[in-house]
Parts: sequence; structure tokens; C-alpha cells
Amino acid sequence: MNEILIQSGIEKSVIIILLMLPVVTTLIGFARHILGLRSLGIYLSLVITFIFFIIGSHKDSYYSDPLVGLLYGVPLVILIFLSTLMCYFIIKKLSIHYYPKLALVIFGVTGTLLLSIVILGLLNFQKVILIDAFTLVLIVAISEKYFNTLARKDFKTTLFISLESIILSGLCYLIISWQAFQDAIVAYPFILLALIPINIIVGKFTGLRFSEYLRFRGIITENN
Amino acid sequence: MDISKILKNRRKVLGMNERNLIFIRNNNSGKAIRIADDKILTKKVLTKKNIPTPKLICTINNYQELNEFDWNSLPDSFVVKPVRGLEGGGIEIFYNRDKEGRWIKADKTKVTIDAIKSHVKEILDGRFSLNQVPDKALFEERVKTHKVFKYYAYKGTPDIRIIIFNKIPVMSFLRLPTEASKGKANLALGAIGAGIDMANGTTTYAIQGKGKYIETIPNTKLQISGIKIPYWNRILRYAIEAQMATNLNFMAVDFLIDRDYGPVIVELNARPGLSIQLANFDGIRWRLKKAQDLKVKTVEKGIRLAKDLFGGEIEEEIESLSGKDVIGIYENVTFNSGEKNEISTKAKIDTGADSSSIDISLAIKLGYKDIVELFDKLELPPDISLAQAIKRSDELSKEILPKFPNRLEKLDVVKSSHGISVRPYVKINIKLKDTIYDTYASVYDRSKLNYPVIIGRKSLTKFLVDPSK
Repeated sequence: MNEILIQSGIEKSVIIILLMLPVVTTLIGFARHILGLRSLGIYLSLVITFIFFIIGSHKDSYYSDPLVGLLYGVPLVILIFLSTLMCYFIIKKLSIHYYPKLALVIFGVTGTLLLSIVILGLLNFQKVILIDAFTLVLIVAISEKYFNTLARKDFKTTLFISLESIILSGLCYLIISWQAFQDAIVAYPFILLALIPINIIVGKFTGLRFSEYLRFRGIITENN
Repeated sequence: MDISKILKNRRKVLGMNERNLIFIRNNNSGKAIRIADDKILTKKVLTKKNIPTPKLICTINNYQELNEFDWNSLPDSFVVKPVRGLEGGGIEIFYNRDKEGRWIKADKTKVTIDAIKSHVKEILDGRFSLNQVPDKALFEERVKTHKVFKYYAYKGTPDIRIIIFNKIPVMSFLRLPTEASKGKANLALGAIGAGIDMANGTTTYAIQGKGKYIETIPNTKLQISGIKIPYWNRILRYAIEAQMATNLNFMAVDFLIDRDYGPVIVELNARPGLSIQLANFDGIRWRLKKAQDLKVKTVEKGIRLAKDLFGGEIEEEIESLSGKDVIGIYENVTFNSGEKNEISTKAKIDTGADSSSIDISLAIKLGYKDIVELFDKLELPPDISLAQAIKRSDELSKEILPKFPNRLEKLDVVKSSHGISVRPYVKINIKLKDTIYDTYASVYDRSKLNYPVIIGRKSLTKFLVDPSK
């Protein structure tokens, strides 16, 4: 299987990312329905996971170094969130249409990002500059979702959800960058079929989520 | 921690997974959900069945209507809402209008026509609607807060949510706006949620925000439990009628109570949240399971089932919360004078009296004949002043008290319509409800009064008094 994919001329890292996509989405589903971790949506968690993955990946192999991925990825995502937050508070009171407002926010985020890259480049942090153009677009795109959540929920809730989102993506990233796991999936891609029953089981689960055991612990441990 | 208890209690609680997969999906059709999600449609459907909702002033459906809108046609007080809003987002309430034509919000901020216009633009652009789809704005009359909630609600209007399933109201709570929630009845912002006893519409437990249990309104001494929701039966009735009108078999019905017109339905919600369980300190899952298989054909039966199945004994709850028995104004009291001599009599529970008192004849029966006779002889001069009487009483205390150890508690000066007198306080042992305890009572002639015994505050520390009993 592995050979066929390689022979088709697709880059190995692309194959890895394609094979890992359903794994990550399954993990996000598991985290939501069994653990009760909130996130800023499946798309955002997915994007953050792969931002980590790309940042941590080596040039010539499909492995991603978790240390590098998290070391540079987490501050980068936090930077995006913070700059979105800053722009949000600056233009909050401006009474203009929603899309132009969002465009201004993204403009601010892009500016911050550009500035940071320049500064990091001057300070010789080459790793971050290696991000390709498409990843950058992805990074900016997450600020829309974040901005939207800010506009709807209160600040504290958004903060907690963002933190949970980053933790969730970090966990997903650690799993998909685990070398033995990668090797196994590249060698035997069919084991991914196990994701189908897993998703059906998670999808039919009607029990309490782990977070709900905590939330309702007062009622659950009550003497009655 | 006891695992078997957790496993058992866990079944009482409804989680998000089960709510979505079992209760919402199996009970609410897409068509029915559309009614709840659209506030104008909700209003239409309910009005048709004569169920009251706040009066609609007008709607703005698109930019053209917004540009042509005559803002001065709006009354001084109104509410603007997104038609398809979520979780109360985008709702603004205006209380009055100042001389410059600006409207005034609950927090006293003044809002110009331009500001309202841009808020309506945001609504039209879909900022507050599900998936940001373009929306409409609706203007309706403001509901005036009912006087019952005057001291409990901070600025905004409290609302009452009933979760109803299979035509039986199963759980309810009152949401009180607080300073933290800036006058909005939204728990996520720090409002108070108070569980409501289904039987009598009285509040029980309360949480603030996401789940902090509290007993009083923050920064006050106002007890949250025991608030009686006005029009409780009508609220239950409208909830059931709303369910019959919309065919939403599992939903939350949100009420406001107008000072003049009584309860009105402001919103139906096809995806009720789970915090209501915390506010009631009880899971909703067992209630839903219980309501599931019942056949309810009439509104009356729905109300009766709700009260019988899910109404707690409020009195029992207060008793177990405070650890005190609830007694009425008139109770039977049993005196135990030690020599297997028990005397039962009617007593008046009087929280206005500082201490208890008993009639002379009862004191004699209890073996205090000597003390009664001694005090009969003790005549104070008729023109004695209060200060002199107190001095005399202190002298007498020193002289008499040692003569009656364990029988006489103290002497005290009493000023009444008969003049100033010194009364003895004898030690008594009484049984009230199921509690036997030692206390003391003054002795004087009560033969012309209705009750030979008064139980006053000093003897009531172990009880709560309910004047309606």
C-alpha cells in the first residue's frame, strides 16, 4: 500500500497529512463527546493541529518533532488569539458592518504576524519563517472563528474555550506526530478503517461526558 | 467516594449527549423546531391559541425597511431582539427616553437613534443568529417587572423557565438578573438561577453563574429560597398549551411576568440547557423518563401530574436544610415536671414575645406552689418607679434565687397595664413537636387570656414558625 502511494508521486508528508486527517477529526469527536472538552469547532482544532504538525516537521522526512511543533506552534497560535483579541477591543465600539469589521481584524492580525516574523527573523529564529504561504492563510483564517466567538460569548468563556482548544490540538498533535503510530499507518493504512466503528460508537454514546461528571458532581454524590 | 452511589445517581442526570441524541432528535420535528427558532412565528402560533406574548410593535426585515424606518414612531420603552437570536444575544431593552430623544437603558446609558440603527444592522447581518445567517429585527413592548421580584432582581426583569416534556412540566427555575450580569437574566453572565418546586411554585435552591450555590442575593441578606412565583398555575397552564400549539415535545418555555398583565411567553427553546439541574439540585433525566410513557390529554391533567410527580415537600426540604422543625402558631405543648407528671395543653407560639410565660394554675400543677405563694405576698408599693423596681428586683434575686436551686431561673421586672411587678421565671421542661428541651417561663395570672401558655422567642430557637399552619 505504502509503495503504491509513493509511486503515485505524492510527497510522503502529504500522504501522512491525508491519512492523519480522519484520525484527528475522530480524536476531536472523542474529546467532545466522551471527555467534554469544548473547542472552537472541529475546523479550528484541525487547523491548529496541522499548524503544529507543519511547524514541527523536518524538511526531508515526514516526521514532525513534537518539541519543535509545540515550542513554536503554541506561541504562534496564542499570538493570533491575542492579536485578534486586541483588534476586537479596539474596533468593538466602531459601528460598521460585520464583514468590514472582520476584515479590519484580519488586517490587524496579519500585520502583527508580519511584524513578529520580521522580528523573529532578525533575531535568527529561522524555524517560524519556514511556514509556507498556505499555512499562513490557514493561521489567519482561524482568527475569524475566534473573532466570531468573542462577539457572541463573554470574554471569560472565550478564553477558556480557546485554552481547551489549544490543549485539544496539542494532544491531537502529540498523537499524530508519534513516530511508531505514523509508521504503522503508512505501512498499513487499512487500520484506519477502525475509525468507522469508533466514530459510530462515539456517535451513539448517550452517557455523561467526563466534564459533566465534574459539573454535576454535587447532584451525583448527593445522598438520596 | 461510593462508586455504586455515583452509578445510581448518575442515572438521574441528563447530559449533553443524551439531550441531543435522544430527547431533541426523537421528540422535536424540524418543522416544530423552526417555530421555536423564529420569534415572530412563535408569536403567531401562540397568539392564535390565545396564549399571551409581549405585544409586537413592528419588525425590520431588511436594509430598505431600516432606512425608511420612522424612529420617532417607537414608544419611550421597548425591547429590540433578533428574530432568530441565540442565548439571549442581541437583545436590548430601553426603559425611557430623554429630552434629546435618546433612549435610556437599564444601566442608565443613553443611546442615540444612530446607535440603535447600527445595532439593528448587526442583527440584520446575522451577528446574533445561528451560523450568522442574515436575520430580522423585532420590536416589542417591554414587560414591566412584577412587584414580587422588586428587591430580588437587579435592574432587569427576571424570567421563569419551564422545561416541559410530553405535556408535563418537569422542571423549572427562576433567573434573576444581578449586578454581575449587568441586569441580564443570563446565567453565563453571572445571573442567579433558583430552582422552583413544581408543586407550589416556590423557589428552593439557587446557583449563581455556572454553578456556585448561594443562599442570599449577593451583597444583601435576602433569602433566595421561598420566593413564591405569582400566577404559578397559569404559568404551568400556558406552558402546556404552548406545547400543544407547537408540537415541540421537549422544550423550554420562558416566561416574564408583567406587573399588570401576568405571565407572558417570551421565547420557546428547542434546545434547553442543562444548568437547570444544578439550580434545582436534582437531575432532570429521571423526571423525563417518568413523564415519557404517560398519556396526557388535558391541560389539567398535565398540571396535576407535574405537581404530584415532581413537586417536593417544601416544608420537609426547609426542615432538612435548616435542621429545624416547622411549627404553626398554635401547638400542643407537654410539660414534664419530673415526677412522671405530664401536663399537655394548648400554647400560643408568639415570636413577638421575648420569653415564654405560663399561667399561675399551671405553675401550681407543675409543683411551683411555693414560688407562686411567695410572689403573691410580694407586693411592691403602687407608686414605685421602674428604676426602683429594678433595684428591688436585684435585691430579691440575691435573697430568693439560692433558696430554689434548679427551679427558679431569674426574677425580672415587668411593666404592664396593671402596673409594675416583679415576676419569677421558673425552669420548665417541655416537649414541642418531637423536641424535648429545657427552658424557662414567667409565671403570672393568665386566667382571663385565651391560652394558658405563650412560647416566646427564647424558647423557639430550635424551630421555624409558619403562620399559615
